[in-house]
Amino acid sequence: MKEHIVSNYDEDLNSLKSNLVEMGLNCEKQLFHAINITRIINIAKANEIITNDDEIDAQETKIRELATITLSKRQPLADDLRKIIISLKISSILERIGDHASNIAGRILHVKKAPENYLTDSIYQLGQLVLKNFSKALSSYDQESQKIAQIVPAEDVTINSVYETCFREHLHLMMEEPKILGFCTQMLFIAKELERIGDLSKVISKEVIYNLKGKLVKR
Amino acid sequence: MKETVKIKSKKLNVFYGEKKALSNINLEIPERKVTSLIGPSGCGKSTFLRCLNRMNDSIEICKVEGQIFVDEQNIYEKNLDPVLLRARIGMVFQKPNPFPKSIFENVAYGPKIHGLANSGDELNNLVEVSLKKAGLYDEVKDRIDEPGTSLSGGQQQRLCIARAIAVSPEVILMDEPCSALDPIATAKIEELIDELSKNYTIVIVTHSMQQAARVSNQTAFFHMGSLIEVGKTEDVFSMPKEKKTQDYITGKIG
Repeated sequence: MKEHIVSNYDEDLNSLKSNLVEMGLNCEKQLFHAINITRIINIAKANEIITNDDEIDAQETKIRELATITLSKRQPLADDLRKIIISLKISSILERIGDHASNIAGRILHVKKAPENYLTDSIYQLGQLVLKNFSKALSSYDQESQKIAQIVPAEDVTINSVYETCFREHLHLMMEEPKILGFCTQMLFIAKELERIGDLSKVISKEVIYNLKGKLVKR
Repeated sequence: MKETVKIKSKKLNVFYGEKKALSNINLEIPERKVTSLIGPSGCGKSTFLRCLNRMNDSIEICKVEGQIFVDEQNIYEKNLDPVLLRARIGMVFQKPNPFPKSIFENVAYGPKIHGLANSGDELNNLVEVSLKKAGLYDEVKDRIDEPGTSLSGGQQQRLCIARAIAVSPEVILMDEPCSALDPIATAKIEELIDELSKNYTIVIVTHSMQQAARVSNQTAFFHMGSLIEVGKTEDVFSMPKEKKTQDYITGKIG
């Protein structure tokens, strides 16, 4: 990789990237905990997730400031410009993902505990797929890898079909046992949050391809 | 709609003595569009620009091989008068260079020597129209008899543009026209370039990537005497095809 004649320019771009990766890792951690508490409910953890979301918001603000300063200082072109554009876009997606993780924690606070006859862990399994695909999207950004980025949309197709299955399963559960209707409804909301994170991971991977190829990929 | 080609260079080679300054340049310049020539110092972009109205003729050691066509006519033909050519292809330089005469005389000089005005009124009118086209008229109309050199740098540059326009050229060549100007004067020239491109073919040499990106429709990147890449400006600055172009416009080495 060639370096800029002005070495501070490289430092600006590197700092933008490392801040974004750090924000991504923070989201990954939040998501990991949020998914875990869908299987074993943990109120303290749920509260912690909600509190930590502020940190992700602050990270987004910092990236926006860094990007603005770099744009005005360097007036970048070509791949440099795309790097900055995608950092703005991805940071805003990560902020959304952070919100979804926080929403999941909020739902858990609402249900407080799982009914004894609620035995499925399909939402947790859906979460695992979503987490794995989100991590891939993040790696594709970190490693600037088109190869990894291309896997993400394909995996999201699987996530969507698992989400559908999960949805039907819960409908059946609710019909069979109206007492757990309230709980299942909250779990379905959680499933929807996870499905959204799946979509957003796909958008991240498309931004990565845009950065590398210079062309927008159709949604 | 296909663009009409105004200027076409074919296998153009230029030598300064033993040194080859341009090597096999094949470039088409579309009519009534802005083409910017970019590249590091010494890459040959100004040499190329100067070939387009045979400004290089005055340099003794300069030898030009190949052809340049303006509307299908080879401008390096033996019987072509370079003075008439330069009326068709005007030039604006890096440093504003008004004649040491009044603002009026600066603009009127070209039409006078080329016999473009039949009467005093016609000449007055031509000067006024040229100054208006150069976006300078309102600023100088009350002091048209003051020396051209009394104007600010940006105004002087617009005076030079008015002077070039006065002889009704088809093409305007600009060699870093804003490098000696402040940002406001630069913005005025850029605005003017945009306006002029409706009627004239413009070729501009610039060291500012951002300026090239802002004002031009086509961009050509020169490096060490060769034309590396030419294409639509938005493509060259967003996704250049050549690595050398990418490295240059993003300021990279290694």
